[in-house]
Amino acid sequence: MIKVYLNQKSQRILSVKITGHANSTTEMLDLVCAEVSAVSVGALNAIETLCKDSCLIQMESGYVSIEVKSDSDTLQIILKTLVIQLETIIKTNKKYIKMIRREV
Amino acid sequence: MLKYTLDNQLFASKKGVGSTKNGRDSHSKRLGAKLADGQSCHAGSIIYRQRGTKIHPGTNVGRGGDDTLFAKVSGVVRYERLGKDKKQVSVYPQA
Repeated sequence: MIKVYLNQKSQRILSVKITGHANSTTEMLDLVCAEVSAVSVGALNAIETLCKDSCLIQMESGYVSIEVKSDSDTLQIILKTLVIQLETIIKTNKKYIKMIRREV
Repeated sequence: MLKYTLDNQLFASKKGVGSTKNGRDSHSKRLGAKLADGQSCHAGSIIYRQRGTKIHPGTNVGRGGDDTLFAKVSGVVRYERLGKDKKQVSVYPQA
């Protein structure tokens, strides 16, 4: 199961961590994993393009981490878009992915 | 120029799993002994289902087209040795 850890402080996103494996199917390509991979890597590229060096980013097999270093409205829009996209995936794949929100 | 390249299997447990060429099997044919040694039987009852002659037909036992062994008379089933390394099955009428 993929877990999304979301740290927020008064409606501002501080960090997003996506860990784990979908295991939604044993054959061919794992669709849930492909969905999560697409939105997370897309968000990383958006951050790099629109808000360069504003986050500490890590990406490995089964792990993506985004930690905000210098906040901005544009960055928050990108991160909130990522969260909404992940929630869209969770809505139809509760068995394979879940979100854990923390108010810091 | 986008810095990060999309790997569709970034969160997949198994990378690059292809399809398998196996996964076929025939239905089992339930071969083997249908009557045990010492069991009584009627004429015509099937004693042993086999492919080829794992067990050879002995006294009062016939062999069908698919090598099935069947009783020709009513009696008691006996599994016996045939030569050094073969087996046969016979049916002896009860006195």
